Amino acid sequence: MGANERASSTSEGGPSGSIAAIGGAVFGVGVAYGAMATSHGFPLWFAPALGVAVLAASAEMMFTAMVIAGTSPILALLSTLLINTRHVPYGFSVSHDLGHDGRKWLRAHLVNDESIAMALAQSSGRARRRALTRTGIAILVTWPLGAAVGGVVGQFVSAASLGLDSAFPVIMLSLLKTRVFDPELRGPLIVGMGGALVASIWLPAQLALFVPLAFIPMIRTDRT
Amino acid sequence: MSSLLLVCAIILAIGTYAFRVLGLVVSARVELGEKWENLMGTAAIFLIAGVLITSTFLQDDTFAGMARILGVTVAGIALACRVRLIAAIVIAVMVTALARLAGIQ
Repeated sequence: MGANERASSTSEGGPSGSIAAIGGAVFGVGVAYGAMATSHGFPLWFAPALGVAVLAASAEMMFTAMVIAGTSPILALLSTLLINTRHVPYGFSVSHDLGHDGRKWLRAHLVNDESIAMALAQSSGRARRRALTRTGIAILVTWPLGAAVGGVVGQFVSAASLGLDSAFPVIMLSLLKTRVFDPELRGPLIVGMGGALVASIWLPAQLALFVPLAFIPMIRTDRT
Repeated sequence: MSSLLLVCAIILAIGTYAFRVLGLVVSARVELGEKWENLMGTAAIFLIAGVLITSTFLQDDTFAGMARILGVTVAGIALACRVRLIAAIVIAVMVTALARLAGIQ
């Protein structure tokens, strides 16, 4: 889920209202995530446990969706880790705000798209730490809770009949939204997606999804 | 569920936490190098693009059907109109479910 998506929400309704809105949204996505997992044979505990342990929302969903699509867990792991490298600059951006005691290392786990957007919207270091901690804890509760509720639902009803299989592509779409308008990336991205679509006619999904990477050399970086 | 899957899930959790802590501890002087950082960011975007395509169009390596494509397309239009992500997801789910109810697979 995009950091800029959340940044816009901080301007409305003040921090506590925004945190409640984030918690509600994360819960809703969690339901889709949990239902996707159990309706494809994952045990009920898996999605909430992975959610607490990784706490990066889109990453857990991507890992699970890739494994469901038949990708080897190792390739799914490497792909998801690549997506999660954005947490390095996130951590860096609040490195002076998380305090100096041992709890700093606990707060570090709460760093993700939403909590960083909320933290960086504050002006003082103290307010940043408070916003990050509160948003992070709200997600730590609502994300696995949503996944557990969805997981129970997924055991009784097929996720497909509820249309829940369309939730994950929309999350991927939202991550791409800001970048597809980047004039340097737009062309290669669109061609890459077309390539993946054509490739998916012959290739299994687990291979077709890597096709856009082949179009990275198309990006013109000579800005003069 | 295989033990390989479990091990990969645990490494994913440890790796993600390591990225967060790495960002916290590296000083401004020890940067990864702008070029390397840019390439990683770009690769991630293109990988997301691939996942978007396969997760929209494929189910078990065959065509996923028009219902899901319809739902994702309508949600995409909603996102372009600056609708919030959670609202766009609800739209996608409802459109897909209604399409299937109407007999579109």
